[in-house]
Parts: sequence; structure tokens; C-alpha cells
Amino acid sequence: MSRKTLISIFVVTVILVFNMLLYAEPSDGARKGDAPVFELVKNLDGMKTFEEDLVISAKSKEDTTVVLYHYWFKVDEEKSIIAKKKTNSTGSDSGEWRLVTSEDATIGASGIYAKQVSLKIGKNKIVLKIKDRDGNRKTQIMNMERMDKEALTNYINNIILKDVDKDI
Amino acid sequence: MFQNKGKEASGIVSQYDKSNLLRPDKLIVNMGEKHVLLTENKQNAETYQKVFGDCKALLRALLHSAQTQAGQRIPTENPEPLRSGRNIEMRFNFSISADAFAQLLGADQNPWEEIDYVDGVILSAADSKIYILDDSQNMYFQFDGSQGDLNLEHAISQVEKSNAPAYIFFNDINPELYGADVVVPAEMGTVKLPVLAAEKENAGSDKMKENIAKFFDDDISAMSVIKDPDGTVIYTDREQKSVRIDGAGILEYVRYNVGIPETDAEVKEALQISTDFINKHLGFPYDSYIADIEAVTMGDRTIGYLIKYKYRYEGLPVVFDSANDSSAIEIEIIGDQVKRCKRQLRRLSPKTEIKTIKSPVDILDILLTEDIKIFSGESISHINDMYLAYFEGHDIIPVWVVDVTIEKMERGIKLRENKQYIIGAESGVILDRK
Repeated sequence: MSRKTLISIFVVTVILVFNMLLYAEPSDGARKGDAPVFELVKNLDGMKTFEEDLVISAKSKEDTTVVLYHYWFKVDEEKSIIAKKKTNSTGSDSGEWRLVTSEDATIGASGIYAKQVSLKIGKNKIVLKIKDRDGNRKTQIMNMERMDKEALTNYINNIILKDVDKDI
Repeated sequence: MFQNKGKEASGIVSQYDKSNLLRPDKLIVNMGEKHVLLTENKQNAETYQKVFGDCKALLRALLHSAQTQAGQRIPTENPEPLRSGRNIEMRFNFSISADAFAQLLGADQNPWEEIDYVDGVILSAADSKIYILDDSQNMYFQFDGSQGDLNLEHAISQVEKSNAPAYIFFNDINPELYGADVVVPAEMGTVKLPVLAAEKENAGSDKMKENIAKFFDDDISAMSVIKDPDGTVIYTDREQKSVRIDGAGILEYVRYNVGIPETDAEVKEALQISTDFINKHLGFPYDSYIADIEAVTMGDRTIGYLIKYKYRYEGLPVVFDSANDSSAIEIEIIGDQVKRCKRQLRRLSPKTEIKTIKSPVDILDILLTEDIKIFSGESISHINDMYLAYFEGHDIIPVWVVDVTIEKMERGIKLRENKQYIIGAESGVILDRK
């Protein structure tokens, strides 16, 4: 066998062994390269609500770490020429995403992740950065909007009162 | 509102409205995405009483309506659609017979043909539907309710405005491991509870003689008093009755020669006799509730009932250790007579010592570790319930009580058993297992 052939066989063997190690199945069924187990009870992405408090909860595996970032889209009250402003996902408002809070947690033997989030009025974004014990990572993003019940009620009342005034 | 009359400084109520004994194990306000468990503590007493009072009024109205059959039957496998609405949910800690349920709410009998037991109730705000849960059939039974002058939506809105912490149902997260009763705060924040001091129920009471005399129909002319060196005192008429109070303050009344009834005893009569007897003899603690009703049988006949009552302090149940595994009040009715009544109540008051409370997730993370499995030789296969309570050990301290189903191997056979773990709410240490 030529030296070139031997080198080729060696290289192929190294790649195969590396792949076997990479995808070797640990005892709990998780595999290096798999997405971490993190099953949200409800994916709240796209939700519109009047409620301030929301609970983000999920089933996961022991030793998984979760970092929750809560952002809020602060709409510009006045146009500024100093700060570089971003538009939100729909591009309808100008303003900037501000970090409200960040919290990290490590999942224990219960397999439960639960965090209460207090939404601010307007657009909110929850970003969950998840990493399991094998180092697998996943990011879950949920956009949600909290509507101002009081403002909406006043707005409707004003319309009704205007109609009443017209009738009078 | 409550109709308890004669509440004394000790917290004992002498004229207890028996419908209050239907206080649920859990009173939950479901507000769509958010759930709040109401606790009858100083902060929430008014809201709790309003919500509980409205629930009882709506149930009374339903019991007196002409509905005997449910409009719809909904399997319990997935209660989420019911919970995702705006409603009030009552969950009881045992399956109460529908007869007893109806009787406690003032109805003559159970009008619902399909329902044998009541394990819970959901009262919907928007459409006034009432759902009765019978776990023995794994079914919710839907009826048409009528709110009349009441407004459940208003009560729910009041809770919503109170900024109460959100609760979660763990069975929504993992139904294989957690039961439907596991509803706990999503986050505890920095909750602190006091350690309690306890006094014997009758300590320092100048009414003791008067109270004992009531057990003998106020006739103490033939009564003897026997004092044991261990501190036990026995009052007896040497013929029919005795009252024994031991050194720890546990009181036990016994009536001898109780006749066996010729017909089967009825639970509604037993409840009435029991309530009247306790009202007359020392009264109920304010936050009492029925913990269990067991039939007393002779052959295939039901000759009476054993009714167990527990009580809460600031909305949290008081639980005993495994060496003293009985309820706060136990009363045995045979036919139409009280055969036995045992009371082990304490007058509780807060001490200056304060405990910080671990979150339920932290507690479960401790309980479900491999270390506990190795130490106990038991594998926890299901968490049935979990709640904060006060534990009567050396001190009366806040604890987490976790009701579980365990699996263990004995002589090569896999056994399943229900157990209760009592875990220090601050320390996370397992204090008792029974």
C-alpha cells in the first residue's frame, strides 16, 4: 500500500472516530449537537394582552442553564439627532429596545423552569438563552404586546361621549 | 359574608355556620394567563370572604334550581381550556359525597343524578356556567348557573388589581410527574413567615369548669375527677360519659353504651349532629374545614361516620408530625349520638423569629435528587400536591408539605404507596415523612 493511501485511510479513520465521539449518546438521551430540551408550556410569541404579569414556564432537564432577557421597546417621544434609533420589527414606530431585566437560572431535579415577568405597556421581547449540560445551545425569542386597558377604555368612552354630544 | 357568631379572642367560634366547613383546600382565581391562589390571611381576608361567599351563594342557587342533569360532560384529562377562562376554582382536599356537599349548603339532598362525589368546582364569570368535578368519574359536569345580583367578574377584577403573585399549575408543565392539585407561586420573591408560639387550648381559661360541665349536660353533681401523676385529668360520671385531658392538652370525650341504629346512618344527619355538638362544646377554630368523612361500618351496614376537621392559621393549614397522626378535631357519630370527640388544638400566636421561605421549585429540586432516592430507598414517581403549612413539632414552623406517590422494591415486588414529605420551608431539610 502506498504511503498516500495509508495517509488517506488514517485521515478517514480520524474523521469517523471524531464524529462517533461527537454524536455519542450520553445516558440521559441527550446528544452533543442536539438542541437542549426546553419545552415551553405556552409559546407566547405574538401575544397581545392587557395583563401585566405573565409566567414563562417550561419543562427542561437538570443542569440546563437559562438566561432570560426582558426588553421593552421605548417609543420616541421626540425625534433625537443624537442617538441612533432603531425601528421595531414592523418598522411602524421609531424608538429603541431597552433591557428591563435579565435573570439566570439553573434547572434542578424538578425539571421545571418558571419565571414571572412584568410586562411594560407597549412592545416587549423575551429572549431565553438556553444551554444544556452538554453545552448545546438554543435561543427562544418571544415578542408580545401589553395594551393599556385604561387608555383604551378612555378612548372608547370619548368616542361614545362625542356621539352622545352629537345626538344632543 | 360569614355568619359566624360569637368569635372569641382565642379565635374560637361558638356558632359556626356549617357551610364555612366547605372551605376548599384551594381557592383559585383564574384570569386567563394568570392564576392566583387566595389565602385567608390578614392581608386577603376580605377578598377571600367575598369570593368564597359568592361561590357558596351561586352553588346554593344551583342546588335549589330544577337542574338534575348536566348539560355537558367534560373529561378531566385536560382542564386547561376551563382554566384559561376567567373563573373561580375550588379544589377540595378529599372527595366529599355529593349528599354531604348539598347538605352543607343547606339543600335537603343531592339533586344531581350523575354525580356521586364532589372534588372541585369551577364557576365561570362570563357565562355563569358551573362545572362540578367528580374525580371518581374523571369528569366535569356543566350546569347553568345564575349570578343574580352577584358579579363574579367584579370579584375577579378586584383580585387582578391587587397585584397578587402569579401561580402556576405544574401539571401544565409536566403532567406525567405533577398532579392537578400542584398549584404554587411562580416565584416566591422574599416571602417571610413567623414561627408560632402555641398554648394549650384551655390554658389559663377560667371557663374550663363550665366547658367540662357542658359535656355532662351541665349536671356535675355526680361527676368525679381523677388526676393522674402524669398530668392527665379525667372527669367522669362513672356511668355514661368521660372527658380526659392529658398533659399536652389533648381532650377526648367518650360516651359509653351507644346504641347501634336499626337503619343505615345518613351523612347529612351526622354532619348536622357533629356541627351542633362542636358548636356547643368548645366551638370551632375560626378557619376550620372538613378534612375527611369516613363511614363507620358493621358488616355491610353503615352505622355512623367519623368526621375529621383541620384548621388553618393565617390561611395555612396546621399539620401534625407522624407520631401524632390525627386531625385537630375528630368526632365519631353512631346513629344519632356522639360516641367520641377528640380535640388537639392550640392557641397560636406569632413569635418574633421569622423564616424566609424557599420557592417550591427549590424544594422539589431537593426532594427529587438522587441523594434522597438513595437515602430513602424510595423513588418518587408522582407529586400529587404541594402547599405551605405550619408544622406542629417542637416549634411551630412554616413548612412545605409535598404529597407524593413513591415506588419501592420489597422482596422483588414493585410497590406503590402514597406518602407525605414535610420539609422546612427555610432550611429545605426533610423534617418528617409519613
